[in-house]
Amino acid sequence: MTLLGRLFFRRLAVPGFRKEAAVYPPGEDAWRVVGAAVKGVSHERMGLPCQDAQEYRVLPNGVLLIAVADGAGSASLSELGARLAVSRAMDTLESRIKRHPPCTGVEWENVIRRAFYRTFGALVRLAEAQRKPIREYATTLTCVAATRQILAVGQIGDGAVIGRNPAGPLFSATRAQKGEYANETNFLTQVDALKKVEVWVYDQPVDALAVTSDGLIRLAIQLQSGEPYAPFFDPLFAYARTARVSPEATADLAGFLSSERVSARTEDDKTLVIAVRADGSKEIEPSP
Amino acid sequence: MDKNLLEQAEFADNPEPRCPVVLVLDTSGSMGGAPIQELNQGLFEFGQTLRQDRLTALRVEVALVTFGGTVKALDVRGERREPAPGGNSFGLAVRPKPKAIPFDAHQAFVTVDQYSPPVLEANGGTPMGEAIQRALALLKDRKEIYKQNGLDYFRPWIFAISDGKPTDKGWEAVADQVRQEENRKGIIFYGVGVENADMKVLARFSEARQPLKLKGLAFDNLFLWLSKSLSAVANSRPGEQTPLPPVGWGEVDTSH
Repeated sequence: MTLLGRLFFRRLAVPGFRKEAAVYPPGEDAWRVVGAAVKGVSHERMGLPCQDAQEYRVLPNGVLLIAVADGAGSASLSELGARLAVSRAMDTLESRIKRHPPCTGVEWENVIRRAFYRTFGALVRLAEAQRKPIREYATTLTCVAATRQILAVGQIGDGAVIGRNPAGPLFSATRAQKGEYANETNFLTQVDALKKVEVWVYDQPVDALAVTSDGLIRLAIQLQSGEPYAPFFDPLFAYARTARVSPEATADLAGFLSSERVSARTEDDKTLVIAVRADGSKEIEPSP
Repeated sequence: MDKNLLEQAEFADNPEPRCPVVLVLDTSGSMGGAPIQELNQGLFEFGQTLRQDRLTALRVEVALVTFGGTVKALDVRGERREPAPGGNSFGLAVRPKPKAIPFDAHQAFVTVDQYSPPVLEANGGTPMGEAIQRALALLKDRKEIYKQNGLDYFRPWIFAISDGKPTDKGWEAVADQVRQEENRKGIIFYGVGVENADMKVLARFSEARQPLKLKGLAFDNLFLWLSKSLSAVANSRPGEQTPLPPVGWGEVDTSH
């Protein structure tokens, strides 16, 4: 290592960071997560691809990241937009949070907003590179970061994030953005997208979390009150608790999402990521 | 890993979003004979086609306003019928006589699973302006009802069919209202002319699209198209500018 490199390394290895990385249990053990995005019946019928995308990561310091994107049905390349959005948002969040986990609510909000900013830029560049109007990549985006202290959520569009406090009932952590009509929402590709991004930071940790695209909303949320429908989520959280991150778990969830029972109620693409904090991992609080 | 847990998930019971449409139909004297018969047949098949898709049957809401001499809202409420994915024939059902009901957005609209059109008769003048104004008011009130009940809804449609020109005064003002309402995305207006219809009049109601001239008396194709289009809208997802099926039943009239 060169002298310069050594100095740089020293600078990065600030005491707080080193301590945190050492204290948290390895990422794999911190959360049980399973996620899937499946094509809706109407997409099947019209020969459209699945325009939803999802990704989740558990960082070595135990921070859980989830991103879900729902490409617009009217946009010809929205499945590309949705996939790019989740991967770029995840990369941005990971690189920042891995190095310097934010501390305050304002810092978290900035980190989340920056992820949307970077993702918006990536969509603009993709459209330029492919010489297509950016609206053809129209997609919503919902991003979540969960630590032992906070839950931070950013959203443009009509996804939903459901959290469960260790001692409390389920709660909706976002508000779906809707226009006057049922088929209208905001997309990350619109001119004023970054102004439409909403961020919520909760200073309570959650022990279970679900992120979904609007395809499942009518099944999972009581729309009149906006409350999550517990009989929908409780069994899913119980399932996630028993699941390891594995191809089988993903297949089970995808099977559930494309089952007759679900398809009879919604024609749209369906995405669900469920995460439950694993017990058995050493519950070590970071030292103050 | 317990897969059975997934089977235990229950679903919230939410009301379906609604897609309201008002059919504004010319039943003036000149529609007598073959035109009114074809129109009646088309209205009947409209319901049958819409019922073939389960979600459409629960989401599309129809109201009927006719203008022949006087303007009436007609009762289209029949027995609730199960949507028939197999395309059951309802041809044996008794076709009701037209029954006028108040211009009340609570009563005038029915979802397709309850829709049962009356057999229309033709007579009298053509008070089209008043009829379309009634349709506008019904849709405005209907939206309010949706909002009060927390129902999601799609952009409402007015689908107006006429074979003549308005005989009532003040239709121009109504046409202006319709255009404004459409421009602010409050409604979607379709005007259809039959036989000797004055296409210039219909054209005044919309800047967004030209009125179409029905080819012959192809009401069956017209209502087939309308049901498919409404079905596409009622199943559309956020961000969708729903592509509608091609119009095989009409043409743009270029004579004016």
